[in-house]
Amino acid sequence: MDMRRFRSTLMCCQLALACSQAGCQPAGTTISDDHLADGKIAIVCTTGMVADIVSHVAGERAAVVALMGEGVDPHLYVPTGSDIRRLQGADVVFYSGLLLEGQMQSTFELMSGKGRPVFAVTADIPKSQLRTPAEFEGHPDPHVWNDVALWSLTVDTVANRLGEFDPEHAAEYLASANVFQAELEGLDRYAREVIASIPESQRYLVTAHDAFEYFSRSYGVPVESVQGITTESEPGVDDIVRLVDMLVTNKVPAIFVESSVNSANIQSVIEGAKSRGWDVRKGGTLFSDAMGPEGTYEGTYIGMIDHNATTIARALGGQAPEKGMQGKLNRTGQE
Amino acid sequence: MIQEFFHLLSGWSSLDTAIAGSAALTAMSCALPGAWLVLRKHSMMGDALSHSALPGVVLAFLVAVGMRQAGWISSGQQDALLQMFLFAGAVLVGVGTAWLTEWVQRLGRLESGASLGVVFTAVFALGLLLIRLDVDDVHIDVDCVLFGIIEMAALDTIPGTSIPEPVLVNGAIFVLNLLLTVLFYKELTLAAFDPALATSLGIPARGIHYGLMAITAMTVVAAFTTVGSILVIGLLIIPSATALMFSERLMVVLGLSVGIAALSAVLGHALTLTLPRMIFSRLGYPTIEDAGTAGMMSVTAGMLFVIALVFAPKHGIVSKLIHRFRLGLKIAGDDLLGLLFRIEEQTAARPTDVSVPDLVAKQNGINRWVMSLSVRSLLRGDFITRQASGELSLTDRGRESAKSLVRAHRLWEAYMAKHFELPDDHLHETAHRVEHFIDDAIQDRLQSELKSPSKDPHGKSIPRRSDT
Amino acid sequence: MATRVVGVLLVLMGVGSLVPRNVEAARRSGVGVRVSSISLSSLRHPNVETGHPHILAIQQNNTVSPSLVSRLSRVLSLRDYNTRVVLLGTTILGITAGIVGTFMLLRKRALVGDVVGHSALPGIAIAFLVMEGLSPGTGKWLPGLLLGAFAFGLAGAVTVMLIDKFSRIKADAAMAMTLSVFYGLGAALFTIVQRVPGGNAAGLKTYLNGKTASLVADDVWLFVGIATVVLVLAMLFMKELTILCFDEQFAAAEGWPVFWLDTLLIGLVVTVTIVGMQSVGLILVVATLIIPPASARFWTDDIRLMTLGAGLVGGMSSFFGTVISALFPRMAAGAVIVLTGASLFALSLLFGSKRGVLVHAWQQRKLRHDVGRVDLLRACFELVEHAVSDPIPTHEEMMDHEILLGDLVSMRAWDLSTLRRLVAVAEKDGLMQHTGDDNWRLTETGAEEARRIARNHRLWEMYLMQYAHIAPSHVDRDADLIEHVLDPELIAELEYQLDHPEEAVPVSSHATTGSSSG
Repeated sequence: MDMRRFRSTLMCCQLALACSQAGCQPAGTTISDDHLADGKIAIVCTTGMVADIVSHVAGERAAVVALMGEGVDPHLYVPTGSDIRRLQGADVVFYSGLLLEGQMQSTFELMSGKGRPVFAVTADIPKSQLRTPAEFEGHPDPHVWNDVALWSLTVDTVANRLGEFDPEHAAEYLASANVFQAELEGLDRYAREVIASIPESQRYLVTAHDAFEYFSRSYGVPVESVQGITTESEPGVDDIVRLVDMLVTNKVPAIFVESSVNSANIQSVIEGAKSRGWDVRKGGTLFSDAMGPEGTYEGTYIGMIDHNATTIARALGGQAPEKGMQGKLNRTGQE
Repeated sequence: MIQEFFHLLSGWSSLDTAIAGSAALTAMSCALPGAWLVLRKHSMMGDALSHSALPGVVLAFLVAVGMRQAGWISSGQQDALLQMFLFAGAVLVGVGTAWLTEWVQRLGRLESGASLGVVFTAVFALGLLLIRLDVDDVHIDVDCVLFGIIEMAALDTIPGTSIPEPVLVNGAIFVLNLLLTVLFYKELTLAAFDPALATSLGIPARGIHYGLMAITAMTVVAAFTTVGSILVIGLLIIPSATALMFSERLMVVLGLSVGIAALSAVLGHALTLTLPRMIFSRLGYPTIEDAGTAGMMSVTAGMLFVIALVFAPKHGIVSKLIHRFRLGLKIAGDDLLGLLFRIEEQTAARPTDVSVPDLVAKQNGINRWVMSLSVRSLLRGDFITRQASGELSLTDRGRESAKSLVRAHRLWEAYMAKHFELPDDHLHETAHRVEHFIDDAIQDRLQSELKSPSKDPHGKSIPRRSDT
Repeated sequence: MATRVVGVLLVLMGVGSLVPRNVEAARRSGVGVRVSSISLSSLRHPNVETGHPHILAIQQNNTVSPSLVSRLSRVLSLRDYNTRVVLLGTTILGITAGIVGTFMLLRKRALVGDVVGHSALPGIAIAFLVMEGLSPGTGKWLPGLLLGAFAFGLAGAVTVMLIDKFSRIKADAAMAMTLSVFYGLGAALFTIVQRVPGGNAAGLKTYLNGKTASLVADDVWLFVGIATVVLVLAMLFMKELTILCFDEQFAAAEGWPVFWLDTLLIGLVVTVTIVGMQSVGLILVVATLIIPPASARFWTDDIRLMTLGAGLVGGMSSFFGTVISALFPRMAAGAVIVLTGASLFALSLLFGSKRGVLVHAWQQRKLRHDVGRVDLLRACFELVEHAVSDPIPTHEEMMDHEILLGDLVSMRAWDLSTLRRLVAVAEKDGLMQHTGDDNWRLTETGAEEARRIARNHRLWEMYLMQYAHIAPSHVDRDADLIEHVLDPELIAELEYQLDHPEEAVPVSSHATTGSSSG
């Protein structure tokens, strides 16, 4: 009874609104129409890293929008009504997956189940290559982009899915995917080289929270962090003391700040080491969950990884050009 | 501006209806237990439950993993069941928190806020410790894994229809809560207001408290999972508190709070579509289109409360101010009449230089403006007249009224002098304060109690009622 | 994993002495599993499988640890900077928050710290937006964010105060409303902040939520400053604050500046909360504002002692919590401190000397025991009174009379088994002696006591009738309840007032037979 009445009320509301709207299109439906009109596919992506790949693959054929701008924590991103309208209006949606987008993922899966072209770019990465804590099967670490070779696999996924959606230009997508992947290969090589140039005894990546495990695995720099992945995760006093021990014993020259975590968390480690007579520097700010400012080199995927690798290598005593792989870095990464 | 508001609002689509509808039903489902929380002074329970969800999901996660490791379920099953596990974990720990709070409060005879605070911080800390010890490699933030987002929830429609899932889930919970409220109305009321009486009538007051806490916890956690914690904490308490500004009657409060909850949700979403863009486009951020609906709904509910706080007919600030102002006016008028009467009694003390209203105002610390308003109203009511010389004097009607007042004053003094050993100079103050409130009936009782005295303790004669 | 959960539960249950062993066992079991390379620690260093030499080095750092005793001595000798800082900082904060919390608890606003912490959210968002607007890239300047947080935290607390004062809404509902509206505003603003172009807002929401173990020396100095201010103010205004907490209306009527005292308290709470939040995290601050005073409440009713006790409990939980966190790996410092505090609370709840559960239960038991004895002896007196010819039985008559349980049971609304239990207790107390089947006699002391009790009861009845105008049929029940608390001075007073000679038992003012009014 109650439900039915409610439903009819809902319908009344809709009717009344539809009448009052006479002549004014609902905002949600217009986007795709506009883009289709100028022949472009409207693609909505979640994070900047995904949008960067999609833009490279789709080129001029698509209008790519990233919901999460620079410096947004994808775990805790809160979508608003306008985001949902954009998603509803998009021709294709790409998201990162592996629960990076938290609660949004279930909605994406739901949309995909209804036959909408909604894809996770990490879907085709072999499970064996994902860093999955043994006890927690089915919950792989989602920070895949920190391993360039692995992230490069997502380029194929994007090109294939786009080709299926727009078979006419499928070859074109594959071609640009290959070009981009070649670039990524160069990036991967560069990162490997500069990290390898760090003296082995100093090769430790110490950060505020656990987001660089993939980076650690593929470039061979062990990572230690003050706290775990979850925002709520909190270290114990013993953990901090051990970290200080480790820094002092191995004479690690620098530790790193992340753009998304209050650097005060790392200050205590620096001071702890200082009291034991070892001066640890802040090696610079790393981009962990989001890329740099839009329109800058660091605001692209390549720039982001270039920045991280260069900053880490230079701070830990390795050899890396000050301006990075392509001489485009805006900051030296030193603080 | 208003035009802009309606122009923006005209972008309302079926998605917005779904969001507002889901939110409204969730809010309504929370409003009923919320009202009991307010009445039982457990208002912070919503916040406590949002914290206890953390250990809930962590424990549930560990249980699921443990079951897989023990070989009871396959990893595929684990994935499929995990969401249900997390929900069940949050509900169980939520109910546990509510019960523990009730128990600590009863056992320790503590104030409810304190027991709530002790329990939920401890339970939350337990969650933090478990995360660090056992699941530091999994992103298990409740905002990520359990709490819903209202905008996304509206997209999760039930297959084959366009009805969002929360409408069905929380609507069903609302109906259930409504049913329970109706069925156990008497028991709930008694247990909330007079547990001792309830027990003597054979109603298990304690059991009802525990049951209520369990249902509240379930309702609230279910609402968390569909629309998120922010909206729920907001719309749990505010509608009931707002309703309490309008009425003392429980039935009315319950009904009103359900209505206010729905109104807050719908109005809140309308404001989400309009306010942020209107404000931030002026601040130079043209890209801002809207804001999180849940937060705006809480803010809207808060604004409705402030409106009620200010304008509610009986308990609102404005109505209280008006009442106080009227009383002030009456007291000023009474004082003036009293003084005029006393002057008539004792013409020798007639002031020559100062006007009477000024004197009254000065003596009693009454605002001049209030005094002149009161003079005007007395003139209009034909209690006093202004003579050609500008002096005020009592009319017959005014004299009657003044006589009653002075009579009340002196009777009270006589009564106080008889029953309390107060020094003479203390009598006047209290009598002056209560004289306005002693009506004829009380005067008569005082008179008979005092065996019809003719003089007050200061030796002044007590005027007789004219009709006797 | 299960052992770990048990260990954690033990901390919570307050079985302090068992904890180290348990956690130690859990840690060792972790080491055991590590060999098979699926332990949690190794998960955090997955390269262990790739065999990278440095990672193995870290592993060794983590696993090969000295014995518990040597670790304990390392912790207690305060050799490590971080242990030192955290121990000192949290202990000072614990004492400070405990003292401030006492007043808030007594003002029935225990949860105000939570409200302040959540209300600060829109302040952070607005401060960020303003700073970004003034000069892009400076949005995360910490002092600016702190100022915004403080302003809105204060606004939240003042809102609670105003709603409490100017409406019929109670403090708890005022807190819930304020928290949700401010927090909702913050949440809405954050969805806007994350869309502002140029702003690097990631993590901003938790930016001001510090981690306890990451305290630095500057934080400790700040705590010392705040602690000094709080202690000085608390000592200066102890009397005023006490009156404010116990009887606000009286304080206002007596002309105390209630508003300013309230504002002072709120200022202290907001300062402690915001400063604590950004250094040790919100949950620890909220807990230390509530748990220590709530624990101290079980030990005393005196506000001065309660303040001291709260400071003590706050300091103790911080101290022991920090030591545990420094002894064992992965014991999140803030959480352990909160749980240590909760354990102290549980202990106080049980063993508190003033309002503790055990003391209360013992008092209840004693009261029940006393009530039972008094009822029994009075019933005996009345039984004898009916049996003897003279209206008032003498001492000897009381002792000589054989009392049958069958007769006694009809005197009161009790059943035979209850009566048997009461009689058995009376026998143990030396008040009655067994003389046959269901036959009993009063002992010397028993007879004395029975006369005394009956006398008190009747005096009280007369007092009530004479001075309180209570109908005779209602007298007995009230007298029954009150005679248990009559003290000798009051009895003397009654005798004086009723002009009764000493020692004699007055005649009952109503019929004493029958079980209902008894």
